[in-house]
Amino acid sequence: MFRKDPEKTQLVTEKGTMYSITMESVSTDEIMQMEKDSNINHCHDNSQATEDREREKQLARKRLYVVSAVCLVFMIGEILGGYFAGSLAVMTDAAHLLVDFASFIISLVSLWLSSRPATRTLSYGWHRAEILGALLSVVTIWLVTGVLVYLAVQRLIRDNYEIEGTIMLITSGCAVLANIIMAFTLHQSGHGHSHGGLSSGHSHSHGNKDKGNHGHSHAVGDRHGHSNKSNHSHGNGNQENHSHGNGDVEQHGGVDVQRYELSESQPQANASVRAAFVHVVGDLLQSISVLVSAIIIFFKPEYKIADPICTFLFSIFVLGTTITILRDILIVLMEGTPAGVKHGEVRDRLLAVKGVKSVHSLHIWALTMNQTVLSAHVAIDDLVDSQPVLREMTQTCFSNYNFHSVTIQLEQQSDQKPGCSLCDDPKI
Amino acid sequence: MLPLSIKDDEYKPPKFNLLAKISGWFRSILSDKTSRNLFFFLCLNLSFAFVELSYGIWSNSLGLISDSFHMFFDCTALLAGLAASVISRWRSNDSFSYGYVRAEVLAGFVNGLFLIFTAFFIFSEGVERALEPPHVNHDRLLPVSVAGLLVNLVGIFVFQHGGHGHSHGGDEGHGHSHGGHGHESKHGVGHEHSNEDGHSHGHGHSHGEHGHSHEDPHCHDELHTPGKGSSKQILQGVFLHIVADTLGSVGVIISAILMQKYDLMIADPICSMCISILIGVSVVPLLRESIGILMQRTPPSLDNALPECYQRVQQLQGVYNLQEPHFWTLCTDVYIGTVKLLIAPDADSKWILSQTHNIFTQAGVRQLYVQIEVATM
Repeated sequence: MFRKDPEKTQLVTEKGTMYSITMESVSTDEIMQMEKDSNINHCHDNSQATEDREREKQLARKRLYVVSAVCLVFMIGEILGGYFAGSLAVMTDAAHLLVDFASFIISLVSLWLSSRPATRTLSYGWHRAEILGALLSVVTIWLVTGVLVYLAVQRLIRDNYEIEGTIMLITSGCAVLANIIMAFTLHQSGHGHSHGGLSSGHSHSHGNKDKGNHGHSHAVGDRHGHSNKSNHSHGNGNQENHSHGNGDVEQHGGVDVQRYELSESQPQANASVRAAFVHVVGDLLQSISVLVSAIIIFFKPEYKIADPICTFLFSIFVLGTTITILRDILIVLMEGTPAGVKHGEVRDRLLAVKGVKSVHSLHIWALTMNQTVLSAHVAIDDLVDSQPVLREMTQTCFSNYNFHSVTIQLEQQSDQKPGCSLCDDPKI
Repeated sequence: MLPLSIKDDEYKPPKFNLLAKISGWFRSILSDKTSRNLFFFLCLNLSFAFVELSYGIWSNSLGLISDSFHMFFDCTALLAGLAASVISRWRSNDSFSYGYVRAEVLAGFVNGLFLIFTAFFIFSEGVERALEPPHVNHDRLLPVSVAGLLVNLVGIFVFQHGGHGHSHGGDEGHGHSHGGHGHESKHGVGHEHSNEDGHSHGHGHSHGEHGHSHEDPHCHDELHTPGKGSSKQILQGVFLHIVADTLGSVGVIISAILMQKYDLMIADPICSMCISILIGVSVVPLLRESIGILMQRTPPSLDNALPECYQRVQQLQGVYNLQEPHFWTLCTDVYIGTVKLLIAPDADSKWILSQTHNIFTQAGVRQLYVQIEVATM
């Protein structure tokens, strides 16, 4: 799959355009020669990350389609019901579902956008569109919650609202049901897939040579392209073994040893699906709050102040649910080290390669949830041949983590400046 | 000998001293001109919003209460800008190897988003009022709007340099020049580009700045410090927010006058709609820029320089090919790039490395990662 037409090898990468003048600089024969004799692992031999991403996106897209359909159906039902019953409460709930639907559409659009090929100006492609879409979704959650709080405050102050207990009860019951179905869809199909569809997806052998220790489980680019929304811990597959989360870790060789390490290496789920899930959970919480206050008001109509108070309480819960995804989004946008990768550990691995004297300017950041990029300056021993060291370091990186791309600049030890403050490690 | 006393203090884990943390933040805020301005303006806005809220609750005027909520909303934008300017100065660590400098881009983006939402709400309110004109009593609203306008004028005066992008190349100047001219006609404030806000260009496109000698490919000969230029995004966002608020106050005043004098009920919704469109249009450049940065886009200001650099690198002796160039903006004026070179087996990789660094440094890219692969023959 990677041995393309030799003439095109230099010019076309998997990701699309690559700047190159023309064939003037090198003749066709030379290229074919390079191709045949080279033991160089082509820089895109290790494209596990790209394949995983494709699978992840397919899965995410399917789930979002299902959920949008469910949402649309319930919303139309509520609009019709509210119109015929003449109830404002039902209409506002339908409006809430409309916002949810809009955010699913945002997620789908950003997923579609992120499949577009890379261009000259967006050399990494459109991956970040997914993160921005998720951020937009979360911001809309905050906005909607803010509006609800504002309305509740208005109600508290004006105190001139009528609550029809029965209609509210029925509406909120339906809303809770709808949200549970949606949450289940976003949640369940992921789990169901993990045992069914994905095992077929694992029949391919992992192209990387597993040189490094298998003892570490690292979540970056969980190799199963598994999108989970909540924190399922997965162990990493060594060759063809894979374990599935949801608490039941299958006992594959070596995995149970790693179980205590699983908690630290949480796989990162697809951002769009997570954002959609957070939306649905927020809506569920708000429907529950309406249900609770409807029950209170149904039995004790004089306690109509329960309505705004429940709104306040549950709004706080909703904002709480957005915190984890917001944190992950912020880490990606701030070019931080993604959650599954430890800076110090990567540094140690690189240092462990023979011939490497020091590593500085090591930067690890994420394009999107499971696409991590690494770049570093490495000083090697003057007498050592650079290419094997480079190959080994690249191999180490790819076999232990699932990086999207790795760029290592080799420098000679003799050129290092001992007092350079910029070469120091970032302080912990 | 047994110790006479045991001092445990040095062995105790350091207590989480909230007071020390907060005072540390204050010191950080007050040290930098930008954040100082932001902080004082935030305090001004907050106090005004509280006064308005209490007056509204006391006089039971819903209009005042909703206006005070609007002011609180603006305060969150200021708070975001302030937080970003403090956060972007934190030191880098293991989890954030580039430091926290992206905070300013995020603040600009979030401000832009909020402004779009504000414009949308104002527009929908205007439409609502156009369809069913309510009989709103504007009497009490007028003096409060005037006071709000004064507060915003202070803000504009303080932050006026935030709106004029000190960008080096591709200047999306439309939104700014519009705002600028608008100010001249309205407030007669001159546009001296005095340097008080200190948009000094810590890393301008100076050509001689890099201290490389040609033999020495060590990568850190130039200092990388995010200077004052890095607050550009924050200030832009804050400035636009203040402008939006000013326009809102002006709109309320104009429509109140029109309604009282000429009894033109339709003036209110039309004003709202015009204002919301203006706000929307002015935010577009800020949003485009920050989205571009967040999407890891090739820096617009380098769009012309980069192909030239690629050509120069490929013409170096021994270089077969330049592959996978990725260039992106970390924050204002800080560009980072990675590139892979395929070179001949007999080429001098040290020299090629140093030359490549030179070439890109001249273009403005200070942090470069060049992976050199030697072709086997």
